[in-house]
Order: sequence, then C-alpha cells, then structure tokens
Amino acid sequence: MPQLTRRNLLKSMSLTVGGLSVANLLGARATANPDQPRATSAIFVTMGGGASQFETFDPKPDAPVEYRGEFRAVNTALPGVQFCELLPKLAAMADRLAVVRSIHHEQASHIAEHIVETGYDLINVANSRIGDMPSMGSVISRMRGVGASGIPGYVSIPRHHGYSSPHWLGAQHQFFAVDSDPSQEPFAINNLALSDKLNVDRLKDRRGLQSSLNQTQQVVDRSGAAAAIDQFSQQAFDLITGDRARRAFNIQTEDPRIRDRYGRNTFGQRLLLARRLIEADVPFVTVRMGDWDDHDDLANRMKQRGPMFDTGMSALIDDLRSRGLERDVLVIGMGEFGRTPRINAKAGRDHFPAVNSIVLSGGNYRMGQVIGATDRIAAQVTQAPYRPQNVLAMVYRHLGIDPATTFNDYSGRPRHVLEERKAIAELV
Amino acid sequence: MFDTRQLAQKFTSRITTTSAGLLVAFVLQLTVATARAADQPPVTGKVQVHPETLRLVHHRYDHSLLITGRTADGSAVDLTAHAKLRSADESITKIVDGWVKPLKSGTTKIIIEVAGQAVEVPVESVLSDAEKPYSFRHEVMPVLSKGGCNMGACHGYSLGKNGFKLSLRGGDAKQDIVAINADNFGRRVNLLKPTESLLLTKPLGDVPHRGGVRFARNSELHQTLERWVTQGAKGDMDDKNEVEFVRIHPERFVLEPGSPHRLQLIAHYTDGTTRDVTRQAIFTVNTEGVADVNDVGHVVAKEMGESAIVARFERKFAASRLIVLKPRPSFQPTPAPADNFIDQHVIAKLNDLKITPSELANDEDFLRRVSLDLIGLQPTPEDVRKFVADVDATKRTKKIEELFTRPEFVDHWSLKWGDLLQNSRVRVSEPALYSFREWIRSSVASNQPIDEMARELLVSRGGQADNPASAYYLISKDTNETIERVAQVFCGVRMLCARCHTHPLENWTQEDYYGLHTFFNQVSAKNDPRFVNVPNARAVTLNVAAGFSTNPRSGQAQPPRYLGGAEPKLEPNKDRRADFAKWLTTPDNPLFARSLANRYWSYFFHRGIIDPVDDLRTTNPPINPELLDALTKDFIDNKFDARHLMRRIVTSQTYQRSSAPNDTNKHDVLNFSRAIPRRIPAEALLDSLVQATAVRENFGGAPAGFTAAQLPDAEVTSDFLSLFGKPQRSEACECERDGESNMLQALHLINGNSILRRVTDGNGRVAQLLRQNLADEALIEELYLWSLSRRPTSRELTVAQQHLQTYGPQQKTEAVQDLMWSLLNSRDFVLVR
Repeated sequence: MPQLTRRNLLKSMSLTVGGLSVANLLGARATANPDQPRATSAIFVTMGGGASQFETFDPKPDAPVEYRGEFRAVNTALPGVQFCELLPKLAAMADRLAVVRSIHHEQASHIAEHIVETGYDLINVANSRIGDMPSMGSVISRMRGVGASGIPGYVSIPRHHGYSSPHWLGAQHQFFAVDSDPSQEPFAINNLALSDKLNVDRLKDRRGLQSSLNQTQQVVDRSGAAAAIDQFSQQAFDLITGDRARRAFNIQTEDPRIRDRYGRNTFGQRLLLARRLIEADVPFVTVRMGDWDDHDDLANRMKQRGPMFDTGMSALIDDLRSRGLERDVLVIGMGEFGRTPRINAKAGRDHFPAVNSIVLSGGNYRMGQVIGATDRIAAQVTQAPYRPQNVLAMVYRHLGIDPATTFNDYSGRPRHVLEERKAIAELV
Repeated sequence: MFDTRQLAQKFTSRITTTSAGLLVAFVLQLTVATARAADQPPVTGKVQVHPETLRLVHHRYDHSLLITGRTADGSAVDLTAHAKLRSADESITKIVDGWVKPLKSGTTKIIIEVAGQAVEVPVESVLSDAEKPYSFRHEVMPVLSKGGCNMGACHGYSLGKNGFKLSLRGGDAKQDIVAINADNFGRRVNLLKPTESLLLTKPLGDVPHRGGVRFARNSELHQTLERWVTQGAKGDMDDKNEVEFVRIHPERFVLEPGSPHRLQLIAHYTDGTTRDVTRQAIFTVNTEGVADVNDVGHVVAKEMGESAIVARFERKFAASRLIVLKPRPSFQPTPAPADNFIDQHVIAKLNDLKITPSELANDEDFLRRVSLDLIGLQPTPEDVRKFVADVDATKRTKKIEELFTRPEFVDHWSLKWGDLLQNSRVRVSEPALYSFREWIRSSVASNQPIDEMARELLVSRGGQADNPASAYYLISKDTNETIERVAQVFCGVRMLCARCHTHPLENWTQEDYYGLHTFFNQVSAKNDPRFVNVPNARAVTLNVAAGFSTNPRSGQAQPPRYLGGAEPKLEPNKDRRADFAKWLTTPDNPLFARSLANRYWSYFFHRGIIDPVDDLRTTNPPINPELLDALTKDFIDNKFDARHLMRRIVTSQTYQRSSAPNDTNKHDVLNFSRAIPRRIPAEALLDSLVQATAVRENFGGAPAGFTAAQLPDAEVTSDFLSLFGKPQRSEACECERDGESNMLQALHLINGNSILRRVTDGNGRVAQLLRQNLADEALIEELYLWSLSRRPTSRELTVAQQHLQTYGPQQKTEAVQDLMWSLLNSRDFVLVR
C-alpha cells in the first residue's frame, strides 16, 4: 500500500468521491423534471397572523372612521385604484401587481394557515399542530426536485412550524430552514455555512478519510439503502463544499446599494436571500413575516411593519424585473385571513376570514389589475369571490405542476394536490 | 367471507397437489413432448386443462378453457393458443374465438388436441328456453367498471363528473340505476332512440366526452350497454343472486422472462352457478416491471422478480402470484433444518425460486443487529468483546435471553406501542400521557399477552385516575377514528375508505364500517371534573343505552357486525365493546394474530411477510403464505406471547443471515434470503450516537435524562428525530415512521451539531480515550467498537494509523476527532447490517 500522506489522502479522496457518484439509484425522486420547459420559481411571502385589508390593499376612505381607521388611501399607478398610504412604493408599481381583494374562507382561527400552506381546510383538529395534508412547499419539492446547486427544492426563511410537514411525501421533502438573520453579521446557515470549528479543508480531509474507510466496508446492498445513504451523503458534501450554494447564501457579496433598497432589516434581507436562492435554481422559497396579528394598537404596529413590507416587496419586484426574471418568478404576498372591519376597543382589529386582500406579481400572469371587490366596509366580498386554494392553484400552475396530480396518503387513498383547484381566470 | 384468509389457506396447498387433482380429465396420457406448431414451446408431462368439466347455464355466458403445460424446468407454458378445440356436438356448443359458446341444453364434450396429446372436457349445457334479458346487475354494472366509468377520477368521484354520479367502483347498484335512468330528461338513456342515449354516445366518443373514448364500437362492452338500453334499461334489483367469490387460475405460476400466459377468472354465485368473467374483469400487476397484463388477463413476464396479479370483478377480488425466473439447471436445493419452522418455510420458497440463502452473519454483526432490534441500542465495546470471546455454542440464544431482561428492552417496545396506540399530549392531557405511558411500559415489562392487553384497552373506561388505559379512547377525536385505529392496529385492516364508500381494494362496505361503529358508539369522552386545573383532562364514559349507528348509505340502523360479516345478537344495555374484544382475541379470529405476527416480523426485517404490514387484503397477498400461517399458529399456540414470537424470529437462521449476497440471491429483496440493511430508526440512532460519544442529548419538552427511546411522545424539540422520521403519532399507520434516508439527514450528520459537537466535547468519548494515552492501534480499536460495535479490519486499521501519523502528536486530538467523525458518518453506523 502506498504511503498515505495527508496530501495523498486528499488526492485519493477526491478520486474516491468522484467514484461514489454511481448511477442515481434514487431515480426521478431526487432529480428535477427534465420536461420542465422553463426554470420557473415562486417566492411566497406569508403575512403570518393575518394582515388587515384596510391597512394594505383595500382601504375604505369613505367608511366611518371606526371602520376605515386612521390611515389615508393613496392613488396608485392604476387609475381609480387606491392602496393604504403605508404602501406608497407598491402603489407606484400597481401596474405590475395583481391584487385580489376577494379571498375568503370560513376559518376564523389561526389554523386557517393550514389552508394557505396546504390548500385544504384542517379537518382533523387533533392534527392542529402538524396538519392533515402535505404543505405546498413539500409538494413542489417532490415534483420539482433538487436543482443544479444542490439546494433542496423547498427553502423556508425562517423555519415555519405550522403545517409545513411533508406527511406522506416523505421527510426528504421537508423544508430546508434558514433560521439565522441575513441582516446580521456574520450571517451563517444552519448545517450549511461551515461553523468555525470546521473549515472547508478540514471537512474535505474528514471526507477523504471517511471515503477511504468506506471503501473497506463490505456492505454490498442491492436494495438501495446503503447506496442511497452514499448518494445523499455525497449530495450533502457537495452542497457544503460546492461553490453554487455557498455563493447563493453569501449575501455579503451582494451590491450594498441593492441590499439598501430591500431595507436593512430582517425581512428585507430575507427577501433578498430568497431572490439569490431562486437564482440558484430553488423552485420554491417561503419568506415569513409574522406578527400581523394586530388585535391591539394596530396603527402603531402597522407604522412599523407597513413600510418594511412596502420597501422589501417593491425592491424584490423591481430587482426581479431588472434581472429579467419577472416572468419566471411569481411573487405572492398573503396571510391567513383579513381583519375585522370595525376597530375594536383595544384599537386593533380581530380575525376576519370573510375578506382578505392578497398581492401577486410576475409569473407571466396578467398584472395591473384588481380582482374582486368588497362592500363599503370591507365586510363582504361582492365580486369574483376566490379562496386561498385558487391562489395556490396559480402557484402550482406557474411551476408547471398539475394540481390534479394525486399522491397516496397513509391509508393508500389518492389525494389531489388540490381538491379545489379552479384557476383565477382574470390572471390568465 | 374472509377473502384474505381463504386465499391464504388456498395457498397452503402446493402446486403439485393441485395439479394431481386435475388428471381425471385426461383420456390420453402421453408423456413425450412434441412440438406441433413451430412456435409452440416444448413441454414435458401431461397437458392440463382448466376447468376439467363445464356447466353452462346462460346463453351469453361463454366459457374459456385454459390449457397449460410445463417446461422441464417447471415453468408454466400456456398452450391455449396452440390447441385445436372441437365440439363433439355443434348443435349444443360451438367454439368461437377459442371460447365455448352454449347453443341449447344437452350434454357433449370438447375435444382438445395439443402437444401430441388429446384431452376431453365433458360439457353440460342447461339453458333457459328463451335467452334471458340483459341484467343490469350482472352485465351492465361490470361494463361500467371495466370501462372505467365508475373510477374515482371519473363518475365515481364523490361529486360525480359533469352531473353524472355513479357509486365508486360499482359499490351501489341501486344508486346507479337511479342515476342512469332518472337524470337528464331522458337523454342519458333514450328509450325511443336507444343508440342516441348519452350512455352510449359519450363513451363511444360520438359526442364530446371529457373522459375520452371508453370502448370501441361493436365491442362486447358496447353491445351489452346498447342491448340493455334497447330492452328498456331495467334494473333487476329483485334478483338475489350475488357473486360469492371469484377464483383466479392459475393461483401461482412461474414463468421465464418474455413468456406469455393467460389468466382465467371464474365467478362463483350464491345460486351455485359459475361464470367465466375473464373478459369482464379488471387486471392489475402489483409490482411494476415484473410483468404486464392486458385487459383480458394475458400476462407477459418481463424481469426476474415476483408479483401478485390482481383481478377484480364487481366487488370481488382474487390474486395470482407470479414468479419470473430464468432456468438454473445447476441449482442444488438447500436442505431445511428440521427443528425450525421459519427456516423450513423460507428455504422451501427459496428452493422453489432456485435461490441459495446467504451464510450466517458473523458474531459482531449478529450482536449489533439483535441488540438494535431488541433493545434499540448498539452493544458497547465490552459487550462485543465478551460475546466474541464466548465459546459456548449456545451463546446467541443466551444473548437473546439476556437482552429480554435489559431495561432498554422495555423502552424500545414501549416506544413502539406508544406509536401504535398514538399516545401524545396533542391528544390527551399531560398527566394522562404519562400515566398511559406507564401503563404501556408495565404491560411490556411484564410481557402481558397481547390479547389480554388488547382486551384491557378496548373495555377501558374512566379517566387517568381510574384506568390509565382509558387514554386509548381519549386519543380518538370520535368513534370513526376509534374504529379505524382498532381495525388498523389490531386487525391490520384499513377501514377509512369504507366510511364513505366501498373499499376500492377489498370487499369492505359501509355495512362493515358502521357495523364496527355500533360496537364503539356507546363511548364518549367528557371533561373529568376531578382535574379542573389540568388542561384537556377527560374521562371515558359509556352510554349503554345508545342505539345502533346509522349507515349513511341506507339511512338504516346498522346492527353490530364483526369484520368479516357475522352480526351477533347482543343483549341490550351491555357494553358492546366487551363482545367485540372477545371476538377480536379468540384464537380463531383470522386477523388479530395474523396481523400482529406479521407486524412483529417486520420489526426484525426490512419488510413484513405481508407488506405494508397494516394493509391485509386479498389484493396484497403474503410473500410466503406458509411462513405467515406457521408464525400465526405459533403465536396463537403460545398464547399471544410477544417475547416468544420475537425469540422464534431472532433464533432462526433466516434472521441471522449475513447481508453479503451470493450469485443466486443478489437480486432477491423479498424472500429473506439474506439480511437487507435497514436505516436505524430515529430514536435508536440517536441513543446509539449518545452511547458512542458519551455526550447526552437534552430534549426540550421531556424530563431531563430521558433517552430518545423513553420520550413520552413526539412533542419534543429535536431536529435530529424529526429529520430521521420519528412519527408524530397522528396516524395509526406504521408508515408514519419514515425509515428512508435523505439529503437533509446527511447534511445534519456531516455538518450539524449532533456529531460535530459530540466528537469535540471536552468530556466526550474522544477526550476520555485520549486521556488514557492508548497506543494508536488500541485507540483505533476503541473508536471502532464505540462507533460501529466492531473491530477494524486490518486495512481499516492501516488507513486509520496512517491518518493519525499524518497529523502527528501535536494534532492528535484533531486527528482522533476526525476519525470518530468519519466512522459516525459512515453507512456502517447508520444501517442495521
């Protein structure tokens, strides 16, 4: 046996590592769909807690003050359409947005997030923690697989505990979470950016040693369990040490002026990170902005949050356009429900599933329109009623996924990706 | 009624005995194979015809004859297409496309010439004077199924399609005749102009049909529908004749790759008549790639392997088991040990398959495997050294007995039962969670017979203060969930489908579902007033006066009905659960012991004998029926003793085989001819990692010091456990535990804190071993034993020594950390091998 120096070991390692890339025994499950015509992707911004329609996209300036609240409505780039004054930048680009003011459902508790995450009402309340159905992100991961960068197909910024379970699609379709805050320095990703204890060279050394030792292990397995472990281990190693993923996550290399435009705050930088990830072939990224649950002191809280949302979203939409991505990327901003028309005793608004306003941009859909309408106090949908499921149908459609596809659940019953899957006709 | 069981019993008669019974039909017994036609494969021995005699009772019920032979190697040869058929009296029967068509009443015979042999099949034709009108139930309904009209994706969908709703897969003839006749202003069925009925023009594609063209003009399907409409489109609901069961022929057969073979499906009716329904049946292959089957039951073998081929006619199912095998003339059968029924049945099947099993695993591999499987933990270096050094010939048996006494045994099996019974604080109050956990643990610790455990659970009542087992009911949100859990866990049957419609893959109906429901509808959960300050504290109460449950299909009260049909007469105002529990656990219950024996088997192998383990049905037959029958009988004979069952399994050679394949079994992943490596379950993997590194894991949401196996439920924060598939206990299904590997797991092991933090810990294993100042070789051996429960091979030792020397004494800590990291990141650590 030749002398194994540390450098030799490294060399022999790299050969062995190459040799491990055997035929992909995992089949279609682990690879992207080759029939996919365009590299479409979506950034889903969840407005957790449920944003008020009044203080965002459906202001009612003519309603009595106890309904309309303290903010003014401002004109937008679309004649006759007004947004709340807290969103001036989005108002100025309303011709590049589609706002749906007629989203509604019947679930007044936060378990309504289940509808937004999965496209299904939560039936089994005993599942109120993990939900009944696979999340949209897990379905997309299953259908679209892992892109060239090796980053999983569903990235959640930050991790979201509600209803994000892959269920019967399998744990490999769980989200890849980015919990740390990209607006802080240094920014590092769990399990990905190398911790200070372990730099790349040392990891490569370890990997080399591991590969040398692995060669001697006698397990020869046709069933695929061992081969699968080797394969996934290789993918993980490539992800950690490979350039593409690390570059995508390395937000520090972004032009500081672009970083400024998104807003130097957690939400803004998370949106920017999402853009970098979809550029690295990730088909679906969720960015969660929680804390919209304004039962009290709504005006002051909205004064904090509204501008952050306005700045981040408008910067994202602009940035995608300047990069020629606006057709390929669909951006959605949506919470689980709207809020009560009448301001309550604590100067807040409570949960209100009968009316919700959401915003979409890009995705090669028809922009520059408001779909649906509500009555004069935004208490009822009066035109073109849609449900969150219809929005999800538009996301799947954009991603080239037929929402009528079925997967067998734990009992063997085929379950549609979406049972209610009618398109929002106005967008097409 | 028990299709699953009947089928299993039928399988116990081996092919040879079945074929012996067929010989009476042969008049000429030529033993020499001669090829009559150029393309006819050579056969040896006697040609067989199924059926041996024909009794024809209906002008339109033609019958096929399945004519087969065998190659010298035992593969089946379908000779039907090569045979010459002649009717002895063409006024009574004639041959049409190879099928026997009755013309008038009388007796005659069919003379078959093939392969130089001649066979006669006596025929009795007993026809009505006039040809009977078309039957909705017996002729039209099968057309709606065969055409796919009543599939879940089409008109069988719960809301129908385009205004036309049929019962799913023809579960309800009454509903369907109404749907066909009453809707749509007579356009669907146009009695004045039958050929213009939408029922015909849509599936023929004459008018736009979103479901596409379903059958060809003048096909049998088309003609049946058209003539039925022409005759007035009448329902024949008064006809009480029903299909009792269907039989498929052959029930098991072996083919060489590329060989064709046809199947024959015979329906047996309650009036004693039979009918060849091969052309009306729907055929599917369970394992893709092994064979193809077309819509008239013609099979073509593809790749080596095994599959059930399932046939469905009306609501009845039958499965034929196909093995695709190349000839292996040099094969020497393995002698089966006389003293172990598991090995006997496994080897009998392997000999049929011409597979030689792998050798027994070495001591280290056996010890690690049996420790992980019985106590959910790797053996320590001391365990390994002592076991390897032991020269006692019975040391494996001794070790198994020792493992039964380990406290981790209780942890490991209580975790399994906690999963199956879905104990979780999402479902019950926290005190109830812990008291039910203790109840399960004491049941496992005392080796309570499983039938007794099931009975205690099923008749439990009160709250945690009265009977901790009552949590079993508190876990369910309603009676539906209770009966689905009972059926899945204790019968291995998935009843959910039958809540709303007949089960698509087995003959379970809403009568069966609501019959079970009635046994359990006296139960309700009420707030427990004794624990006002405990959130979600509830108690099980029983309203013995509760009436029977309503079957939503009929709107009628459904009397209690056991799974399988019998409806017992119960005394009023009694706890009906007690009767169910008694029925469930009687030794001759066909589902209880069988499903549990199969389930336990699956904990020691990569699959069950039936797999998925909690999905017993005719259409999912066992891979080795004789093995499952014997294991079930042994479990019953030993009074549902779980440890006895485990002992039977792990003392068999079948369990103790190496994972290294030989030339004959490298393709086999179904028949237990070698150990198939499995990924270690989440909890056992984490506990083994903790033991290896001497750095514990602290779980948020559980008492300090709990191991992963001891956790009360899944409501704890652990990235590791959720990534490695610990189930949430929201389903009664074994499948909720994800045993697959994935990239996120690999990422976590390579770069997450679970391993990294542990190998660098100042008080961890690496630090401890370094403080002992061992020589490199001894140090490496310790690392191997702690990490992989085995000593390094000489090559591994060399690589590891080189590694340590490369780093040198200054960087020794780093080098040893790297080595342990590498071992814990290897597949040898993650797999039960």
